[in-house]
Amino acid sequence: MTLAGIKRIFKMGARNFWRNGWLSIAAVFVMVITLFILSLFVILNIGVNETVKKISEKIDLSVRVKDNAPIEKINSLKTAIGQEQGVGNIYFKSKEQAWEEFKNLNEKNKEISSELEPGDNPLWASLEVKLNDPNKLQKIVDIAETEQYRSIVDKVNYREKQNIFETLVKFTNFIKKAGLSLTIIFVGISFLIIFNTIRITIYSRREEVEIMKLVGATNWYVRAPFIFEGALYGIIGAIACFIIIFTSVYFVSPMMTKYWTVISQSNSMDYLKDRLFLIISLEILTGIFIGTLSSAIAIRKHLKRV
Amino acid sequence: MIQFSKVDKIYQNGTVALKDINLKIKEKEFVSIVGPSGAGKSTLIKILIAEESPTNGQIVVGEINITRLKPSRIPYYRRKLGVIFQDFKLLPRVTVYENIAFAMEVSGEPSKNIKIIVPKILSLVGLVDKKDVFPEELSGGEVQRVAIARALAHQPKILIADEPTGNLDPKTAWGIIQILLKINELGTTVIMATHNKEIVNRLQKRVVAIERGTVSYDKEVAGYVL
Repeated sequence: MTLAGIKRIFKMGARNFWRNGWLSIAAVFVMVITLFILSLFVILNIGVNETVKKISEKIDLSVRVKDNAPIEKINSLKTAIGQEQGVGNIYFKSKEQAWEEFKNLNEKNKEISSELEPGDNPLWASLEVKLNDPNKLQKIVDIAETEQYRSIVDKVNYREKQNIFETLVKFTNFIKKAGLSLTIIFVGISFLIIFNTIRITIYSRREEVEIMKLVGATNWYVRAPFIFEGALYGIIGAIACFIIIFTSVYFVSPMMTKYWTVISQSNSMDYLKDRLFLIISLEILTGIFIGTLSSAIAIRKHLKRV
Repeated sequence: MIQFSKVDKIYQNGTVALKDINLKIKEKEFVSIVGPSGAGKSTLIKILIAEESPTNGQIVVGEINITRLKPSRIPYYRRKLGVIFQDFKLLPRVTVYENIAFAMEVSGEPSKNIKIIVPKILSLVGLVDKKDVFPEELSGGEVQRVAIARALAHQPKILIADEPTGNLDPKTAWGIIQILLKINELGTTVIMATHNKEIVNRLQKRVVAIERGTVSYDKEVAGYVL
């Protein structure tokens, strides 16, 4: 393929795009919607995942151990929990350590420190568990509450936070499922619309295509402009979508910042800006992918004799 | 140069279009293929330009056995031929000049060459002053000349013309034939399918008659026999 040939293919594809008028606009429009939903889904996913991560770092499990528990049994429970997937870190905090921590925390509070006598330690020993995967919470609780460990486990501290936590996990899963389904539906719709547009282009240009073939155009030369036309829908859709998203982020960001700083002490605009390039590349690639694939199939189906 | 050996063509609906065609056309020959409508002239031409493939037999053009041509090689084979179609097959929405340039662009000719060759060909067929006109604004004879000009754009060794005088009055028709004769004199093999009796008689060149799918008559210098 010569340079002149490639130039001619691009020119022809762009001309088809232009001549299709409203059809092109419809194809680009549905592409924008598809890519917008996809981007929204990705952004929400990043946001929600980050939130869940931050919160799960804050929610640790504390298994309260009875005073008279033998150390072997505690170690066996520690091993059992430590072996579970999703457990980040587990350590034993003795009654004395707990007391030291409490004292350190309340050092400045003269009133409390003065009231406390070194002899009486009202605190308890515990196994402190850090979770990486919030979904594993219940599993750990179940282990600690089995018959085997009933004699040493006093109580598992998690319940007060569990409701919020479970709601959050459910919400995350819902977002993921809904986003994914919507994305799939719209990818399907844009696929069909582009498929049809290309089919109409082929139909309206069947005479030209026939002449091209008869005067010695290669199959690749006949097909390439249609494929390029499909890619063009993707590229233009992605650029339009990029503008919409950038504007939205710009205006929504100040509101987001409040929420975001509570969660992770970072700025949402910066956070998204870091990922904006990723989102744009993803959009353009997805757009080109949907566009070229649907035209390629339309061509296969309708230029068979070519 | 062109050799048909035992060529049959049976269409999928069972129609036998060609039966046992054996034909040899030498370089620089001018051959008129005559016969009534439906005799198989168009099928013969379609096979020759690889638009249809024969059911049996072989066709060799130059060094190429076109019955064994891979589909991906067909475009390159077609670039060696010049074809004037019965229905012209010109693009209606572009000018005369663009129609010819388009055919050259499609076969990968550099723009530089196109700019040089198109005006030359237009002057050969006498259409220089019509180069920016659209096909629908041309007369029948002029349209035919555009079709000839396009067929000549790749400087083919073989020119194939399907009913080039179809709907033309005798005077215009003879004008077209004279252009074909001129091209033939310049060294191009010309194969013309026609049922124009007058023209064939006046030409006094080789005549091949096809009747019900077979060659019924083949003579070096002859008139219309059917």
